[in-house]
Amino acid sequence: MNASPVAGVRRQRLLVLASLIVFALAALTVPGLQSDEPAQAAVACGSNRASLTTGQGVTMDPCLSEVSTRMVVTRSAPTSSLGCGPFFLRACYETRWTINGIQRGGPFNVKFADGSVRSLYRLTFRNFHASKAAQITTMRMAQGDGGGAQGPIPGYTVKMLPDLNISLGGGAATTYTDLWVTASSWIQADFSVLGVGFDCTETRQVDNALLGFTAIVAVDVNGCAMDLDIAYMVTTPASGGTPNAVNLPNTTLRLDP
Amino acid sequence: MSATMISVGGNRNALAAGWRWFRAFRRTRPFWGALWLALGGAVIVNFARSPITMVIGGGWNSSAGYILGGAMVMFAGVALFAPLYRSLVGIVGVLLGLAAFIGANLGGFLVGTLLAILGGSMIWGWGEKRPRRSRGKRTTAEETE
Repeated sequence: MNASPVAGVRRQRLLVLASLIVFALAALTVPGLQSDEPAQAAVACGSNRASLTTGQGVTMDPCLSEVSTRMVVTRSAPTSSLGCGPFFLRACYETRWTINGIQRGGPFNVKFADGSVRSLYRLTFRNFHASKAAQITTMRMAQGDGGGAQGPIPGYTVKMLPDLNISLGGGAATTYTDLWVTASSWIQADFSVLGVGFDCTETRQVDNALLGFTAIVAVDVNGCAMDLDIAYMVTTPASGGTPNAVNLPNTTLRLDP
Repeated sequence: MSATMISVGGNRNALAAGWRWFRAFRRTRPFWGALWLALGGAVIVNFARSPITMVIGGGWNSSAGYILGGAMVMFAGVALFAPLYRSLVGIVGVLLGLAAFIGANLGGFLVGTLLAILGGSMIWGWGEKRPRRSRGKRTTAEETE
Protein backbone atom coordinates (compact mmCIF):
# COMPACT_ATOMS: atom_id res chain seq x y z
CA MET A 1 0.00 0.00 0.00
CA ASN A 2 3.00 2.25 0.37
CA ALA A 3 4.02 1.92 -3.27
CA SER A 4 3.06 4.48 -5.82
CA PRO A 5 -0.69 4.76 -6.47
CA VAL A 6 -0.33 3.57 -10.08
CA ALA A 7 1.52 0.42 -9.03
CA GLY A 8 -1.11 -0.20 -6.37
CA VAL A 9 -3.92 0.13 -8.85
CA ARG A 10 -2.14 -2.13 -11.32
CA ARG A 11 -1.50 -4.77 -8.66
CA GLN A 12 -5.07 -4.68 -7.47
CA ARG A 13 -6.36 -4.91 -11.01
CA LEU A 14 -4.20 -7.99 -11.60
CA LEU A 15 -5.42 -9.56 -8.37
CA VAL A 16 -9.06 -9.06 -9.32
CA LEU A 17 -8.45 -10.35 -12.84
CA ALA A 18 -6.60 -13.45 -11.58
CA SER A 19 -9.39 -14.19 -9.10
CA LEU A 20 -12.05 -13.93 -11.78
CA ILE A 21 -10.05 -16.23 -14.07
CA VAL A 22 -9.52 -18.79 -11.29
CA PHE A 23 -13.23 -18.79 -10.47
CA ALA A 24 -14.25 -19.09 -14.11
CA LEU A 25 -11.85 -21.98 -14.69
CA ALA A 26 -13.03 -23.80 -11.57
CA ALA A 27 -16.69 -23.31 -12.41
CA LEU A 28 -16.26 -24.47 -15.99
CA THR A 29 -13.76 -27.32 -15.71
CA VAL A 30 -14.40 -29.14 -12.42
CA PRO A 31 -18.05 -30.07 -13.10
CA GLY A 32 -17.16 -30.87 -16.71
CA LEU A 33 -14.56 -33.48 -15.72
CA GLN A 34 -17.12 -36.12 -15.00
CA SER A 35 -20.24 -35.08 -16.85
CA ASP A 36 -18.96 -36.70 -20.04
CA GLU A 37 -19.15 -40.24 -18.69
CA PRO A 38 -22.90 -40.51 -18.07
CA ALA A 39 -23.56 -38.76 -21.37
CA GLN A 40 -21.44 -41.30 -23.22
CA ALA A 41 -23.16 -44.15 -21.39
CA ALA A 42 -26.57 -42.83 -22.40
CA VAL A 43 -25.51 -42.50 -26.02
CA ALA A 44 -23.85 -45.94 -26.02
CA CYS A 45 -26.97 -47.53 -24.62
CA GLY A 46 -29.23 -46.21 -27.35
CA SER A 47 -28.48 -49.05 -29.75
CA ASN A 48 -27.10 -51.58 -27.30
CA ARG A 49 -30.14 -52.57 -25.34
CA ALA A 50 -30.61 -56.11 -24.12
CA SER A 51 -33.71 -58.07 -25.06
CA LEU A 52 -34.87 -60.07 -22.04
CA THR A 53 -37.97 -62.21 -21.69
CA THR A 54 -39.23 -63.14 -18.25
CA GLY A 55 -40.41 -66.61 -17.31
CA GLN A 56 -43.96 -65.25 -17.69
CA GLY A 57 -43.31 -64.17 -21.28
CA VAL A 58 -42.93 -60.43 -20.80
CA THR A 59 -40.18 -58.97 -23.00
CA MET A 60 -38.15 -55.94 -21.91
CA ASP A 61 -35.28 -53.95 -23.39
CA PRO A 62 -33.21 -52.76 -20.43
CA CYS A 63 -29.85 -51.02 -20.64
CA LEU A 64 -27.31 -53.19 -18.85
CA SER A 65 -24.02 -51.80 -17.59
CA GLU A 66 -21.13 -53.92 -16.39
CA VAL A 67 -22.06 -53.02 -12.85
CA SER A 68 -24.08 -55.89 -11.49
CA THR A 69 -25.83 -56.64 -8.25
CA ARG A 70 -24.40 -59.44 -6.21
CA MET A 71 -26.68 -61.17 -3.77
CA VAL A 72 -24.82 -63.19 -1.20
CA VAL A 73 -26.36 -65.38 1.47
CA THR A 74 -23.75 -67.16 3.54
CA ARG A 75 -24.35 -70.61 4.99
CA SER A 76 -24.82 -70.85 8.72
CA ALA A 77 -22.82 -73.07 10.99
CA PRO A 78 -24.24 -76.62 11.34
CA THR A 79 -27.33 -76.30 13.49
CA SER A 80 -27.34 -79.81 14.90
CA SER A 81 -24.63 -82.24 15.84
CA LEU A 82 -27.07 -85.08 15.28
CA GLY A 83 -27.36 -84.56 11.54
CA CYS A 84 -30.20 -84.36 9.04
CA GLY A 85 -31.66 -86.36 6.19
CA PRO A 86 -31.87 -90.11 5.80
CA PHE A 87 -30.08 -91.84 8.64
CA PHE A 88 -28.98 -88.40 9.87
CA LEU A 89 -25.99 -88.66 7.56
CA ARG A 90 -25.59 -85.06 6.48
CA ALA A 91 -25.14 -81.80 8.28
CA CYS A 92 -28.04 -79.49 9.08
CA TYR A 93 -27.96 -75.83 8.17
CA GLU A 94 -30.26 -72.93 8.84
CA THR A 95 -32.77 -72.14 6.07
CA ARG A 96 -31.87 -68.67 4.88
CA TRP A 97 -33.91 -68.37 1.71
CA THR A 98 -37.02 -70.08 0.39
CA ILE A 99 -38.92 -70.32 -2.87
CA ASN A 100 -42.01 -72.22 -3.98
CA GLY A 101 -40.77 -72.96 -7.47
CA ILE A 102 -37.71 -72.63 -9.65
CA GLN A 103 -36.97 -72.59 -13.36
CA ARG A 104 -33.71 -72.10 -15.16
CA GLY A 105 -33.57 -70.76 -18.68
CA GLY A 106 -30.69 -70.11 -21.02
CA PRO A 107 -27.92 -69.51 -21.58
CA PHE A 108 -28.93 -66.37 -23.47
CA ASN A 109 -26.63 -64.03 -25.33
CA VAL A 110 -27.33 -60.66 -23.81
CA LYS A 111 -26.08 -57.37 -25.19
CA PHE A 112 -24.59 -54.86 -22.76
CA ALA A 113 -24.39 -51.08 -22.98
CA ASP A 114 -20.77 -51.14 -24.11
CA GLY A 115 -21.72 -53.36 -27.07
CA SER A 116 -20.30 -56.56 -25.61
CA VAL A 117 -22.37 -59.74 -25.58
CA ARG A 118 -22.33 -61.99 -22.53
CA SER A 119 -23.87 -65.28 -21.73
CA LEU A 120 -26.41 -65.14 -18.93
CA TYR A 121 -28.84 -67.63 -17.39
CA ARG A 122 -32.30 -66.71 -16.25
CA LEU A 123 -33.46 -67.99 -12.90
CA THR A 124 -37.15 -67.66 -12.18
CA PHE A 125 -38.09 -68.00 -8.53
CA ARG A 126 -41.63 -68.14 -7.24
CA ASN A 127 -42.26 -66.26 -4.00
CA PHE A 128 -38.65 -65.58 -3.24
CA HIS A 129 -37.99 -64.88 0.41
CA ALA A 130 -34.58 -64.44 1.97
CA SER A 131 -33.53 -63.96 5.56
CA LYS A 132 -31.87 -60.80 6.74
CA ALA A 133 -28.54 -62.59 6.36
CA ALA A 134 -28.79 -61.74 2.64
CA GLN A 135 -26.43 -59.00 1.55
CA ILE A 136 -26.86 -57.21 -1.73
CA THR A 137 -23.79 -55.46 -3.05
CA THR A 138 -22.96 -53.62 -6.25
CA MET A 139 -20.14 -55.37 -8.09
CA ARG A 140 -18.37 -55.17 -11.42
CA MET A 141 -18.97 -58.12 -13.73
CA ALA A 142 -16.06 -60.01 -15.21
CA GLN A 143 -15.25 -59.48 -18.86
CA GLY A 144 -16.00 -62.20 -21.38
CA ASP A 145 -18.84 -64.61 -21.87
CA GLY A 146 -18.08 -66.68 -18.82
CA GLY A 147 -19.18 -63.93 -16.46
CA GLY A 148 -18.57 -64.31 -12.78
CA ALA A 149 -18.16 -61.84 -10.03
CA GLN A 150 -15.01 -59.80 -10.30
CA GLY A 151 -15.14 -58.23 -6.88
CA PRO A 152 -16.28 -54.94 -5.45
CA ILE A 153 -15.96 -51.90 -7.65
CA PRO A 154 -12.91 -49.88 -6.66
CA GLY A 155 -13.98 -46.73 -4.94
CA TYR A 156 -17.37 -47.11 -3.33
CA THR A 157 -19.65 -50.09 -2.91
CA VAL A 158 -23.31 -49.81 -2.10
CA LYS A 159 -24.34 -52.50 0.35
CA MET A 160 -27.95 -53.22 1.16
CA LEU A 161 -28.35 -54.88 4.53
CA PRO A 162 -31.98 -55.84 5.18
CA ASP A 163 -33.19 -55.19 8.70
CA LEU A 164 -35.87 -57.82 8.19
CA ASN A 165 -36.34 -60.84 5.98
CA ILE A 166 -36.58 -60.02 2.28
CA SER A 167 -39.74 -60.76 0.34
CA LEU A 168 -39.04 -59.91 -3.29
CA GLY A 169 -42.11 -58.61 -5.02
CA GLY A 170 -43.71 -58.12 -1.64
CA GLY A 171 -47.23 -58.98 -0.49
CA ALA A 172 -48.91 -62.30 -0.01
CA ALA A 173 -49.85 -62.79 -3.67
CA THR A 174 -47.77 -65.12 -5.80
CA THR A 175 -44.86 -63.27 -7.34
CA TYR A 176 -42.25 -64.41 -9.80
CA THR A 177 -38.72 -63.05 -9.56
CA ASP A 178 -36.61 -63.26 -12.69
CA LEU A 179 -32.88 -62.91 -12.26
CA TRP A 180 -30.40 -62.85 -15.14
CA VAL A 181 -27.22 -64.20 -13.63
CA THR A 182 -23.76 -65.23 -14.76
CA ALA A 183 -22.83 -68.89 -15.15
CA SER A 184 -20.59 -68.81 -12.12
CA SER A 185 -23.44 -67.93 -9.77
CA TRP A 186 -24.33 -70.74 -7.38
CA ILE A 187 -26.86 -71.92 -4.84
CA GLN A 188 -26.94 -74.35 -1.96
CA ALA A 189 -30.42 -75.67 -1.28
CA ASP A 190 -32.44 -78.66 -0.13
CA PHE A 191 -34.95 -79.70 -2.76
CA SER A 192 -35.95 -82.55 -4.98
CA VAL A 193 -38.04 -82.26 -8.12
CA LEU A 194 -38.64 -84.83 -10.83
CA GLY A 195 -36.03 -87.05 -9.33
CA VAL A 196 -33.37 -84.35 -9.28
CA GLY A 197 -32.25 -83.66 -5.75
CA PHE A 198 -29.83 -81.30 -4.10
CA ASP A 199 -28.99 -80.60 -0.52
CA CYS A 200 -27.26 -77.84 1.34
CA THR A 201 -23.94 -79.61 1.49
CA GLU A 202 -23.58 -79.28 -2.30
CA THR A 203 -22.81 -76.17 -4.27
CA ARG A 204 -24.65 -76.09 -7.57
CA GLN A 205 -23.57 -73.59 -10.16
CA VAL A 206 -26.29 -72.10 -12.29
CA ASP A 207 -24.85 -73.71 -15.43
CA ASN A 208 -25.11 -77.15 -13.82
CA ALA A 209 -26.95 -79.51 -16.17
CA LEU A 210 -29.21 -80.78 -13.41
CA LEU A 211 -30.69 -77.33 -12.92
CA GLY A 212 -31.81 -77.43 -16.56
CA PHE A 213 -34.48 -79.96 -15.63
CA THR A 214 -36.15 -77.59 -13.23
CA ALA A 215 -39.44 -76.02 -14.12
CA ILE A 216 -41.89 -73.86 -12.29
CA VAL A 217 -43.75 -76.44 -10.27
CA ALA A 218 -45.08 -76.27 -6.77
CA VAL A 219 -42.01 -77.38 -4.92
CA ASP A 220 -40.64 -75.94 -1.74
CA VAL A 221 -36.97 -75.14 -1.91
CA ASN A 222 -35.19 -74.39 1.34
CA GLY A 223 -31.93 -72.67 0.63
CA CYS A 224 -28.92 -72.36 2.87
CA ALA A 225 -26.64 -70.15 0.83
CA MET A 226 -26.33 -68.41 -2.52
CA ASP A 227 -23.98 -66.19 -4.44
CA LEU A 228 -25.73 -64.69 -7.43
CA ASP A 229 -24.04 -62.23 -9.79
CA ILE A 230 -27.16 -60.53 -11.11
CA ALA A 231 -27.14 -58.43 -14.26
CA TYR A 232 -30.85 -57.67 -14.13
CA MET A 233 -33.73 -58.51 -11.85
CA VAL A 234 -37.50 -57.94 -12.03
CA THR A 235 -40.54 -59.21 -10.21
CA THR A 236 -43.83 -60.03 -11.93
CA PRO A 237 -47.14 -60.71 -10.20
CA ALA A 238 -48.75 -64.05 -11.07
CA SER A 239 -51.83 -62.15 -12.20
CA GLY A 240 -49.77 -60.79 -15.09
CA GLY A 241 -49.02 -57.23 -15.98
CA THR A 242 -45.89 -55.19 -16.09
CA PRO A 243 -42.83 -56.40 -14.19
CA ASN A 244 -42.30 -54.44 -11.00
CA ALA A 245 -39.25 -52.95 -9.50
CA VAL A 246 -37.82 -55.01 -6.69
CA ASN A 247 -39.22 -54.04 -3.30
CA LEU A 248 -37.10 -54.48 -0.25
CA PRO A 249 -38.27 -54.19 3.35
CA ASN A 250 -36.63 -51.87 5.85
CA THR A 251 -33.13 -51.95 4.50
CA THR A 252 -29.95 -50.29 5.61
CA LEU A 253 -28.02 -48.74 2.77
CA ARG A 254 -24.31 -48.50 3.48
CA LEU A 255 -21.65 -46.88 1.38
CA ASP A 256 -18.35 -48.70 1.92
CA PRO A 257 -15.13 -47.10 0.74
CA MET B 1 13.24 -8.02 38.38
CA SER B 2 14.04 -5.15 36.08
CA ALA B 3 14.47 -7.57 33.20
CA THR B 4 10.92 -8.83 33.79
CA MET B 5 9.60 -5.30 33.80
CA ILE B 6 11.36 -4.56 30.54
CA SER B 7 9.94 -7.75 29.06
CA VAL B 8 6.38 -6.84 30.13
CA GLY B 9 6.85 -3.35 28.80
CA GLY B 10 8.22 -4.74 25.52
CA ASN B 11 5.26 -7.06 25.15
CA ARG B 12 2.87 -4.20 25.77
CA ASN B 13 4.62 -2.11 23.15
CA ALA B 14 4.50 -4.97 20.67
CA LEU B 15 0.82 -5.52 21.40
CA ALA B 16 0.09 -1.84 21.03
CA ALA B 17 2.04 -1.70 17.78
CA GLY B 18 0.21 -4.78 16.51
CA TRP B 19 -3.13 -3.30 17.45
CA ARG B 20 -2.25 -0.02 15.70
CA TRP B 21 -1.26 -1.95 12.59
CA PHE B 22 -4.45 -3.96 12.67
CA ARG B 23 -6.56 -0.82 13.17
CA ALA B 24 -4.88 0.84 10.22
CA PHE B 25 -5.35 -2.32 8.16
CA ARG B 26 -9.02 -2.54 9.14
CA ARG B 27 -9.75 1.11 8.42
CA THR B 28 -8.19 1.12 4.96
CA ARG B 29 -10.20 -1.74 3.46
CA PRO B 30 -13.68 -3.29 3.75
CA PHE B 31 -12.61 -5.54 6.60
CA TRP B 32 -15.93 -6.43 8.20
CA GLY B 33 -17.69 -7.02 4.90
CA ALA B 34 -14.88 -9.31 3.78
CA LEU B 35 -15.05 -11.14 7.10
CA TRP B 36 -18.77 -11.84 6.74
CA LEU B 37 -18.34 -12.87 3.12
CA ALA B 38 -15.52 -15.29 3.99
CA LEU B 39 -17.55 -16.67 6.88
CA GLY B 40 -20.50 -17.23 4.54
CA GLY B 41 -18.22 -19.09 2.12
CA ALA B 42 -16.85 -21.25 4.93
CA VAL B 43 -20.39 -22.11 6.05
CA ILE B 44 -21.35 -23.15 2.51
CA VAL B 45 -18.23 -25.30 2.13
CA ASN B 46 -18.86 -26.84 5.53
CA PHE B 47 -22.41 -27.93 4.68
CA ALA B 48 -21.34 -29.23 1.27
CA ARG B 49 -18.42 -31.18 2.70
CA SER B 50 -17.91 -34.67 1.26
CA PRO B 51 -14.91 -36.82 0.27
CA ILE B 52 -12.90 -35.24 -2.54
CA THR B 53 -13.33 -38.31 -4.79
CA MET B 54 -17.09 -37.83 -4.64
CA VAL B 55 -16.71 -34.11 -5.31
CA ILE B 56 -14.67 -34.83 -8.44
CA GLY B 57 -16.87 -37.70 -9.55
CA GLY B 58 -20.25 -36.24 -8.73
CA GLY B 59 -20.64 -33.38 -11.21
CA TRP B 60 -21.81 -29.86 -10.49
CA ASN B 61 -24.15 -30.93 -7.69
CA SER B 62 -21.26 -32.27 -5.65
CA SER B 63 -18.72 -29.59 -6.43
CA ALA B 64 -20.94 -26.47 -6.33
CA GLY B 65 -20.51 -26.01 -2.60
CA TYR B 66 -16.75 -26.08 -2.88
CA ILE B 67 -16.62 -23.86 -5.97
CA LEU B 68 -19.11 -21.22 -4.79
CA GLY B 69 -18.03 -21.27 -1.14
CA GLY B 70 -14.37 -21.27 -2.10
CA ALA B 71 -14.94 -18.39 -4.50
CA MET B 72 -16.63 -16.39 -1.73
CA VAL B 73 -13.60 -16.88 0.52
CA MET B 74 -11.30 -15.95 -2.38
CA PHE B 75 -13.22 -12.77 -3.21
CA ALA B 76 -13.24 -11.82 0.46
CA GLY B 77 -9.45 -11.91 0.23
CA VAL B 78 -9.61 -9.86 -2.95
CA ALA B 79 -11.75 -7.27 -1.14
CA LEU B 80 -9.08 -7.00 1.54
CA PHE B 81 -6.13 -6.63 -0.81
CA ALA B 82 -7.77 -4.85 -3.72
CA PRO B 83 -10.14 -2.38 -2.05
CA LEU B 84 -10.20 -0.19 -5.17
CA TYR B 85 -12.37 -2.85 -6.81
CA ARG B 86 -14.74 -3.18 -3.87
CA SER B 87 -17.83 -2.43 -5.96
CA LEU B 88 -17.16 -5.32 -8.33
CA VAL B 89 -16.14 -7.68 -5.54
CA GLY B 90 -19.19 -6.78 -3.45
CA ILE B 91 -21.58 -7.50 -6.31
CA VAL B 92 -19.78 -10.76 -7.15
CA GLY B 93 -19.98 -11.79 -3.49
CA VAL B 94 -23.74 -11.20 -3.35
CA LEU B 95 -24.26 -13.05 -6.64
CA LEU B 96 -22.19 -16.00 -5.41
CA GLY B 97 -24.28 -16.14 -2.25
CA LEU B 98 -27.49 -16.16 -4.30
CA ALA B 99 -26.10 -18.82 -6.63
CA ALA B 100 -25.13 -20.94 -3.62
CA PHE B 101 -28.74 -20.78 -2.41
CA ILE B 102 -29.79 -22.57 -5.58
CA GLY B 103 -26.76 -24.79 -6.07
CA ALA B 104 -25.30 -25.71 -2.70
CA ASN B 105 -27.60 -26.94 0.06
CA LEU B 106 -29.74 -23.79 0.07
CA GLY B 107 -26.60 -21.73 0.48
CA GLY B 108 -25.46 -23.52 3.62
CA PHE B 109 -29.05 -23.72 4.84
CA LEU B 110 -29.52 -19.98 4.23
CA VAL B 111 -26.82 -18.96 6.72
CA GLY B 112 -24.09 -18.74 4.08
CA THR B 113 -26.31 -16.86 1.64
CA LEU B 114 -27.38 -14.31 4.26
CA LEU B 115 -23.78 -13.76 5.33
CA ALA B 116 -22.76 -13.35 1.68
CA ILE B 117 -25.49 -10.78 1.04
CA LEU B 118 -24.55 -8.91 4.21
CA GLY B 119 -20.81 -9.07 3.53
CA GLY B 120 -21.11 -8.28 -0.18
CA SER B 121 -23.34 -5.29 0.53
CA MET B 122 -20.93 -4.01 3.17
CA ILE B 123 -18.02 -4.39 0.74
CA TRP B 124 -19.96 -2.62 -2.00
CA GLY B 125 -20.94 0.25 0.27
CA TRP B 126 -17.61 0.67 2.01
CA GLY B 127 -15.78 3.98 1.83
CA GLU B 128 -12.32 4.75 3.09
CA LYS B 129 -12.34 6.49 6.44
CA ARG B 130 -10.45 9.62 7.24
CA PRO B 131 -7.31 9.00 9.30
CA ARG B 132 -8.13 9.16 12.99
CA ARG B 133 -6.64 12.11 14.84
CA SER B 134 -4.39 11.33 17.77
CA ARG B 135 -5.81 12.03 21.23
CA GLY B 136 -4.77 15.32 22.83
CA LYS B 137 -3.45 16.71 19.56
CA ARG B 138 -6.61 18.32 18.34
CA THR B 139 -5.72 20.71 15.59
CA THR B 140 -7.74 23.85 15.51
CA ALA B 141 -8.06 26.49 12.88
CA GLU B 142 -6.05 28.86 14.97
CA GLU B 143 -3.16 26.44 15.29
CA THR B 144 -3.00 25.79 11.61
CA GLU B 145 -2.91 29.42 10.91
